[in-house]
Amino acid sequence: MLSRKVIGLTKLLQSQGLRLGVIVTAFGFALAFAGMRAIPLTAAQQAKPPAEASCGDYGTAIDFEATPAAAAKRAVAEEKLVMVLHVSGHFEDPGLT
Amino acid sequence: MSALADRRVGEFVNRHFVSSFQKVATFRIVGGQKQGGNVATYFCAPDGRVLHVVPGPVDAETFLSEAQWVVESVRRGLEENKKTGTPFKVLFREYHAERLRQRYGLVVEPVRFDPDTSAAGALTYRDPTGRPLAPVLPPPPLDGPDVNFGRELLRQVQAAQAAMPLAKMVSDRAGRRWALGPLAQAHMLLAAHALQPIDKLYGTVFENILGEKISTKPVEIVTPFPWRPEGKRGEPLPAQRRVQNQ
Repeated sequence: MLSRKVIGLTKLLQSQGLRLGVIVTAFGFALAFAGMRAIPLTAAQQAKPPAEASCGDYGTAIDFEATPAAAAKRAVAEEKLVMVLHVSGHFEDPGLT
Repeated sequence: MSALADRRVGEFVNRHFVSSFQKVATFRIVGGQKQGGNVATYFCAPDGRVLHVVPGPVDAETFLSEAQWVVESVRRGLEENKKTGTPFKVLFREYHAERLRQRYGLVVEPVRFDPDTSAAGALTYRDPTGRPLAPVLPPPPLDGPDVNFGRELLRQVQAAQAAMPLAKMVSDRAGRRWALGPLAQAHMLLAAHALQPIDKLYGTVFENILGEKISTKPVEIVTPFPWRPEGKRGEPLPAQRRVQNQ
């Protein structure tokens, strides 16, 4: 009788322990996942594009604003300098720039 | 598109500058040949005052070198301005004169004041929109070669400058003639006129250095990238949208 009770208690503890183990493991995974998410989020926030998106790159490696005034406004906000191209031709000409 | 398509140029320019473009002149196709068509790159303070200009097309190395020089000179100028109290404008003109001496072996005296070029009166010729034409600013007089530069090096630099497209022969005070490429001419001009508004300088750059006439005709092509969809995600630019709605 006693041995049955001991065996039953042991099984109960094992199952509870298993459940506890599962819960602890799941919690650990959740923490790890949150930690993993936290790093790229911070990096993404650092590399977050400015509030006012640029007009386009027009096939170059440079982002262009629509007008020099818009560029100046964004430059003040981001503490940058301004680059203005004055053109009288097509950028498709490889010798232009 | 060699310089602007370069990855290193793009990274550096996007990190330190906010960019834009304007169409200031046009070109014609005559007998299948293109006449005109050029570019000038202005590096400016956010208020539109010109720190440096790169006239004409250059390779990626030169473009990056000039852009880096601008950023370094701005930092240096701000520090020196705090220490000595010398106006930033004067410092930047001195830097241009210094670069002309170091790279091209020629000496100019930086101009520490702004000559009055805004004599717009009733007799001033204006374009059809009512604005006076962009003034043609005089460059500072060339003093002559830097005695520390080295005669052989000066000879080599002069040969390279003379071979450049748009090179110009400039006389110094003693009447000797020196070849200056577009970039050297820009440094010489900015030793007297750096930190002037872009609307005062662009006429001199486009007409005197690049040898192109500024067009006062209405601009028909809004963007110089006709093979690309206008604006972002194929949407037309605001100016074109207005035209379409009319």
